[in-house]
Amino acid sequence: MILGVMPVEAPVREPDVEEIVKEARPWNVIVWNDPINLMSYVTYVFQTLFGYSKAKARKLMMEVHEQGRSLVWAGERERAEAYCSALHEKGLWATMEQQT
Amino acid sequence: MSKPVKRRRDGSLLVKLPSAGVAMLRDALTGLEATLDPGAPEQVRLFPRAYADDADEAHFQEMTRSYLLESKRSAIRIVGGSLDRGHRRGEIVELILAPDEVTALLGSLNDLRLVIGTLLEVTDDEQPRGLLPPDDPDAARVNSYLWLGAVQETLLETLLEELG
Repeated sequence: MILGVMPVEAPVREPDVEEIVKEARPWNVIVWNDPINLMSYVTYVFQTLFGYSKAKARKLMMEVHEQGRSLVWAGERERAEAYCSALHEKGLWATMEQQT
Repeated sequence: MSKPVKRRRDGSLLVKLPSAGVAMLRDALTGLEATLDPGAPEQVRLFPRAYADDADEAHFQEMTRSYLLESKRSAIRIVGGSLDRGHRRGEIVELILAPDEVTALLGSLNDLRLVIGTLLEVTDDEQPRGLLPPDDPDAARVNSYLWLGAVQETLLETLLEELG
């Protein structure tokens, strides 16, 4: 046995499991009620941007209107940001929050 | 007046607007362009925050803001071009719009309503209900807000029907 070539354990940092779990939690895209956007316009944006059916788009729009907010999409962070930005482009008041 | 919005056989959309409205729309678009300059207070509703966290928000804006601004500016330019190509028939202007022109018009109408509605401090309970007489100090804003909404609603009626 040659001395000096004993494998030395590299100081591997223990993965922070909590951090990984937190990173993996999906992001919600929320649309908030505002007094200016027309109900028909909000429905149209939901149908054309997300490809939702008329029924689903109308249901989400009514949630925004009656409950003040609606969760319109949830998933991976980058896509949530893209949708959020596209909603801003269309003039809707959208925010993002990570699921708890 | 025949239907103000009609899909044509070649896929374009025919939109008929009163010429007084078109003149108002042109002025309003010039105002909207100025609103897109940095620091204009009416911007707040055009560029809402995405994140509650300041660092996340700063990063998000860095990635998205210039695209968003360019998209809104480009919509204004496209609508200006559509209006330039309109055919005037008496008191009516007929616009023939390609799909990207329809998207631009819908977007600009909405941005204009967001800006004017913010200036008017529109709330759920306090919506402008009817046209104001010309001597009312809010007449110009309220009347254009209502007219722009009516045009948007008329366009959407056709577009939503087509989506099924």
